[in-house]
Amino acid sequence: MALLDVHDLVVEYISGDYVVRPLDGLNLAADDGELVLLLGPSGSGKTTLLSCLAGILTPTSGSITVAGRQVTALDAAALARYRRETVGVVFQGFNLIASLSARENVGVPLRLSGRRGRDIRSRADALLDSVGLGDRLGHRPGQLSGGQQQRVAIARALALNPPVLLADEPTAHLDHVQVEVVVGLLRRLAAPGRTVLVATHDDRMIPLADQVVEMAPKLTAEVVAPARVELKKGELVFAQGSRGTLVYVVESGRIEIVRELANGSEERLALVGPGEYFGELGPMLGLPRSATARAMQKSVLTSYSARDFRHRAGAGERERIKLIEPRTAASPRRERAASATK
Amino acid sequence: MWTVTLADLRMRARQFAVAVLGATLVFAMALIMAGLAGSFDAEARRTVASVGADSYVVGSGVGGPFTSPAALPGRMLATIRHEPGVLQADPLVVQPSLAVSTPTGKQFVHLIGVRPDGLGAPHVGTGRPLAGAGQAVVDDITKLSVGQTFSIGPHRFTVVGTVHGLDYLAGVPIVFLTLHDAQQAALGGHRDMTAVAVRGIPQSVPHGLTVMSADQARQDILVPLQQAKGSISTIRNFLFCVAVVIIAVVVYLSALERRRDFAVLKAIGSSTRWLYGGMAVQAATIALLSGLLALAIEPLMAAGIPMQLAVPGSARAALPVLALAIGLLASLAGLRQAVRADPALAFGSA
Repeated sequence: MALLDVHDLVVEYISGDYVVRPLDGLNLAADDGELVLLLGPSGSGKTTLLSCLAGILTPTSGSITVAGRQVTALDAAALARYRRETVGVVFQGFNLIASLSARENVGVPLRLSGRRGRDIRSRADALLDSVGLGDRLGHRPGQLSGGQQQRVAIARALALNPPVLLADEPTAHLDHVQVEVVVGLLRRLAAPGRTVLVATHDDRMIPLADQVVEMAPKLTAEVVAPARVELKKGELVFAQGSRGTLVYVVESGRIEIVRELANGSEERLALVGPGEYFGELGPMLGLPRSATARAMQKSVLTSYSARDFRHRAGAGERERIKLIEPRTAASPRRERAASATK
Repeated sequence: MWTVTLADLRMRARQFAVAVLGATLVFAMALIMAGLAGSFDAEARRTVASVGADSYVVGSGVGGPFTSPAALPGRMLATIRHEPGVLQADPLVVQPSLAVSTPTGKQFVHLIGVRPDGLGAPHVGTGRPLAGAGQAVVDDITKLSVGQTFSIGPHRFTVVGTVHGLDYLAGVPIVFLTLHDAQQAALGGHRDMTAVAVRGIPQSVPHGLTVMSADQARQDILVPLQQAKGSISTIRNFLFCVAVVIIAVVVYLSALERRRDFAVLKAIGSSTRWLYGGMAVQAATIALLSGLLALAIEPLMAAGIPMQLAVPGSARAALPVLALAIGLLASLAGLRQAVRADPALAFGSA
């Protein structure tokens, strides 16, 4: 059994007037010692997944099992203990306590776990030494470089030797020299006894990973042949929150683009008629559909892969395709929220 | 918790120093207010004790010998002296809040006429005791020195001695004259008296007179000051509220600035109780430090007040405890931030 198992995870929340579903049926399994890369652009649900794995965010549905324990079933006290002992988190932007020295920052989880005095000091010193900061023990975050702060954050995450280490965009604020040090360190830490999950949009880390989880479908280089899509009145082209790779051009009929609101009602965003297209931004940016597309009447569409559509639009076919408010992106088939590739 | 709390105190030292300064001044003011209220009790106690009487005989219906005098015929003295239980009885003429003209201007004093060898005769600190007509012994609050003169209406007196700490009704000084001079100055020359100071307790007194114990006489002095004492007590409570607000504002602002820290601490497993504990320690530290500093600076501030303050020992002893309670109360201002700190915020970028 995998050390970490995520099954059919759904996270849904209300943002303003509408419902957002950053994770929709995500599955993931990671073995002991693996370095798993959660790769995707901003908004693809990487941080949401890390928050769930860290026991900070309760998913709408699905389950997370770590070392045989179902995290989603823990009560508040057990969850606090899980956060202390089972997962270590390296936050984006380091998030060290500014008033504390490097040693004191690393000592915080140890204090929270009930350790005292000399024990904390020696453990913190050893950890900082192991990340190459043995000579910066008394420095406060403001006196350290970005890379050094990141290494303090890693040492803090390792304080209680958790079996799972989560790192959120660990290279985001670093120059290339510091990136090398931090990435190398994360690679070394992924060893028997510890699984490391790194959320990043930085695909330079791919070669180091044991497993890469694409949090958003990539704009595939493969050009799929355009297909005719026939719809009856009321039939969905795609649903809000789903992911897809296709862009649609209306040949006949009329398509309604609506946003589902948190109160269950719908807000109409656009009516798309013959010669107009919709659903291009989601596939191009790797984002879930931000609205639902539904046939207002019997309609015929042509579907294009995003790359093909972009090529055709650039080649002059745009004259045939009328630009409308580019608000949505599309696929009539629901796709997995993430695909895991070993 | 201590490490995080003290490190934060260290980092925000200026912010906290301002709070300590403000709270110190407020606590010191509260102590001075306690001293002011305490001085009313102390001056009444000293004045009554200085007479040396166990009881006083005054006219029926009179509030007390020092506040609401009514003339008694002088012949009553002999009757009282023969009452069972009376060891010694001497006449007093008391005229509270009388205007006198001094070289530096007009001021109000309490006039007490005594027999130079009788009960109530003052024990001078400087100069010599009362011996005859035209002489006066004054409390040093009057700023009159031995040899200086003052007048009450057409009557002129020379200061022959001074006393310290004999005043009542919020620092109004006492001027002692001979009985005869006091009768001239306050009773139009009538050979009456306003009270009889008695060593012992008279078993009975003539009709129209009543006996008051020394304690009742002391209580009577305090009656006109009850409202003032109540106001002082209210102001003191206001001052403690101000201290709560000062500390609470600083703790709240600190908590606002530390929202991300709280989120991170929660994300790595700290509880709301742990976070609140840190804030409570900070607030209590500020309050306690302020309380101790207030104890130190109160005498310096009191020196600028033209009254002899008597800060009760209990008020001094209670201040650190009260400060601690105030600090804990103030720390509640940050509680909401600790409770509401969302660990998910830790995942946001800096």
